[in-house]
Amino acid sequence: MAALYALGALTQQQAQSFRLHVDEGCPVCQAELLKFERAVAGMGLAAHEAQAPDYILDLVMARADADNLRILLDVEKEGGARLDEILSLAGRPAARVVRLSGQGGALSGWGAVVWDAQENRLVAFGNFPQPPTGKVYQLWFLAPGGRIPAGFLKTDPTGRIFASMNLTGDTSGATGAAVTLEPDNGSQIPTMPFLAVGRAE
Amino acid sequence: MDLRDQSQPDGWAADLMDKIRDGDPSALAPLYRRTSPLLFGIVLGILDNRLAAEQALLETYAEIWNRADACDPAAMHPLEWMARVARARAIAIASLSRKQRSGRQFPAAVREPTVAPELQKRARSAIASLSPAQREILEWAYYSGLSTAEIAAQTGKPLGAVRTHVRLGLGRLAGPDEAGGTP
Repeated sequence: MAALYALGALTQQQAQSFRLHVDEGCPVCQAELLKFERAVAGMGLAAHEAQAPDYILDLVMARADADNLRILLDVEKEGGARLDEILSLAGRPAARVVRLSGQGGALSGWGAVVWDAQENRLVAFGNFPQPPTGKVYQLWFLAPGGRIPAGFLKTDPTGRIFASMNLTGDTSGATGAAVTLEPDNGSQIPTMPFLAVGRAE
Repeated sequence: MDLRDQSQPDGWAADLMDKIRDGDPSALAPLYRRTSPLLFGIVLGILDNRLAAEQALLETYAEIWNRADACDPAAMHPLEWMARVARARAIAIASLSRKQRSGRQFPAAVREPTVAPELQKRARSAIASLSPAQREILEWAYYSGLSTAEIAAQTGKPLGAVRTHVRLGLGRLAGPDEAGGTP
């Protein structure tokens, strides 16, 4: 039955009945199902290849950007002024942007930092898991001379981060940014590993 | 076919999925370029209609992007997981539009594989090792998404025989059971 279920070759009634049986916790059927699901998935690797159209990638990218934009729109819905602040800062001639990519692991997150060393301002936003009790996310600028602490990033109950701060230290030579997990009162030197990191555009 | 430990030289798939899981859209383009020939081949094989296949492909990558957390490399090779998503999307579209294949001619894999050649060749070799009857019925089941009763009706084979071919064929592809059990 597990083989037929994995292929989708059961009737709807049979499939529901088998699913119920597996969900009730039958270890033998659970193991069998996983084995056959892998076998069915492996059959896909034997399929012939076909040239896919490029426009599909454009649509996929647009959808992904829309998902990220939705984060910004949520920011706008919340505060109204927050999106304006991001766009206003990003539009300045000396503004720079770093997209932060997660480095994997349970506390991996993503985000972006926009800053203007001349205006002495930065805005950071993104999404991270809630930090452990007694810990806080800290932002750093990466520069040839070392790591410049830039402030704390606090998550809201949904994991979203929005921080608008004055810059501390000279970030004009910064080549990137990173996020680490630090004690509640912060650190002067980052505690490795980086949870998210990016290179300045 | 347990491909989970085949992490070299196709570790790129797991690496890209890690980035996708982190919400990094810069991983989408390389992932699409490297995997779309295979995934498009799968959906075309199921839908036999280019427009519907393109829709299925778009939905496949949307699901890969939105549900990357469901890809567990410990349970399944990332490429297998993506192939599974592609098949599910295509079969869903086929079911809605009744565009399942009614003919017997499923696309044969004649071109040299390019996405993950070693994995693909192993998979093709495993399929080729099946008996002709098992291969025929499994291809029907995989590319049509039909139930065994519907496959029996389409092929004219007894239902019992169809089910047996599925169990034995898929059991052979799944590999030996640790406990020595039978499917």
